[in-house]
Amino acid sequence: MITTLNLTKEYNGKKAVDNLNLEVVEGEVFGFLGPNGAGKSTTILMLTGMIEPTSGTCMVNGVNVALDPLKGKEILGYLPEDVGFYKNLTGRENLDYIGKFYPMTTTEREERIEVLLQKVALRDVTQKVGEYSRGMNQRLGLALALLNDPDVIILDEPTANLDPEGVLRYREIIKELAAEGKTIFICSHILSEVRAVCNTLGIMSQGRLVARGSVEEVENELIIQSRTPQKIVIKAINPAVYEAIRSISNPDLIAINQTPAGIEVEVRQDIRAEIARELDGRSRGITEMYLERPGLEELFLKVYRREQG
Amino acid sequence: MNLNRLTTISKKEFSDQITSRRFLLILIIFCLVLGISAINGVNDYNKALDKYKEGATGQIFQPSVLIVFQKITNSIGLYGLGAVIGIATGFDLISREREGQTIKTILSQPLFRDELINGKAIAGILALATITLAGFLIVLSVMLIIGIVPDPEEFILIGIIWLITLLLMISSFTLALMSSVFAKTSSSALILALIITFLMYSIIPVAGGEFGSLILLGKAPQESDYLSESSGDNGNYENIIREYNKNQDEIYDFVNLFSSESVYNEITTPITWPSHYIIHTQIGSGTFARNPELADNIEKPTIWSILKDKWVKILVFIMWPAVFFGVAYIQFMRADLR
Repeated sequence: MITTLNLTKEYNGKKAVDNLNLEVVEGEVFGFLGPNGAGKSTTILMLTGMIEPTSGTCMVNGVNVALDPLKGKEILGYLPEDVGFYKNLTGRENLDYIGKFYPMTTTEREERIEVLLQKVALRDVTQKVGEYSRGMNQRLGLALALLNDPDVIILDEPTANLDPEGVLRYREIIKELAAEGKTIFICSHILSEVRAVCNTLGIMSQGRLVARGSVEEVENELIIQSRTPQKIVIKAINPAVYEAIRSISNPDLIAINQTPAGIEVEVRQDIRAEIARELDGRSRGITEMYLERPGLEELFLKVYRREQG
Repeated sequence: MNLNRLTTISKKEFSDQITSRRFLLILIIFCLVLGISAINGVNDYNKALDKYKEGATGQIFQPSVLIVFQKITNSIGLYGLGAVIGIATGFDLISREREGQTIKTILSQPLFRDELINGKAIAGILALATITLAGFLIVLSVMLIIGIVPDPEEFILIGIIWLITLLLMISSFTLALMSSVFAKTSSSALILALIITFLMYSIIPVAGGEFGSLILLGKAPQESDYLSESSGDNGNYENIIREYNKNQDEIYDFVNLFSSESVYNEITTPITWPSHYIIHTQIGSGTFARNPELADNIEKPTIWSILKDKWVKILVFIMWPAVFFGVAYIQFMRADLR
């Protein structure tokens, strides 16, 4: 649905996006991550046909957006970061004005707006957008992105300004859209949010895509790139278990510590199966064994700092 | 460019313009100023008519009702009301979209950038046309209430003054639109528009004239340099200073083209006050004071003779809005949306 090939954008000789090759397939809920200045916004502006690439191509549903930006915009739904609306108009009037740029009859447009306002819980709101809270504005932004019933939806920081209830409703909407087979491209700084709704991730740093895959694959990739050890925590009522673990010899095992929380085994990768095998017959008294992985934020920051450094 | 999309944008922008408090305020001020100027203008008309009947010098032609518009064009041009209205209508058209983050919202929809700026320009011009039309209708109402009824030719000339007034405002409006494209905030755009206006209305015509004269003509010739010691005669000084003054006038005439207000007055004066125009520009006020009979054989300027005489200024008058809008258009098309 979204394909970029050697996509590059230069500003004054500096590459904001550098040879980006990315493919997001139909039905994928893709999380696009990266620190400020990584090139995410520039990529989105190219995908939405708002700026032209310096070189390379970006295709959305078979449309070369740089060559036919109007067609690209017609088939895309886009929620810009800090989305703005005309403050002197109501939410409905804003959507009605914007809806006039799409090939819809007046009746179709009115019906669509009705459904969307219902979806984002703004149907009965009659005040002007200038009087909206930030959360209401953001919800209207989501309705805007869905106005033309697009197959590809690009959301830039969609949960910014939303209250917890708004975030839950947003997640439900994303799930509904994913179930309908829509391709969703989410750009966010809130990694936990991305983790909650996306099934695949891509991470940008300094204009390049540094990781791409399922959430787990990207986490594993980041663990390797950041060289961050993982932790296996073993809770046991039998003190002999500690000694038994100490006797295990495995190249991925880094350190073993006895803490009030239990036995903490620092490892390069998940070796729980090996530990269980080694402890076979000596594992009496083990009540719990689980893998504690560093959070996506922590991994992301470590990799990002490594890239910067 | 798609006409449907352009119409959609123009309609929305025009609706925004005419439903804003700013528009209402401008409309009230404009109508008030024009109404008061019209009342004063009617008095001037009656006085000029009396003087003409008495055979007073200075009234070469029978005053027409268009003299009522003399004070109006002064208020709009000389006192800067037209510039203020033009700037107020256009200074935040693009910068407001940028400040309110609506620029990305609207440009991410299936429309071209030029449709947005063209739509805004059309709506702004329509708003100015509405304001000026309302003001001129007030003036006509005042005239009709007092019992002054223009003849068909005068109606046409009033229409021409309205058109020129609209052009003056469009000139300031496009300048403000250009500032709005360049500036990041509306307040910066307003300041930029005012600075450019001040430069074009005051600094360039005055300083440009002085500077241009000094560079191109040198210092004005002094009479003492031409005095002949033997005869006490100043030789050909008078011819030289006349030539110098003529050249200096041409330089001033050229730099005055930068001032829409100055050009506006030069185009409207022959229509509203033909006697003054003939005395000051064709005969010369000094010459007329010495020989008023020189005006006897001069015919009242018609609209065609005025157009023939002022076509360069009219072209310049149309050129400035085109230049300002052209710059705004190019800059907007190239603007970085990040």
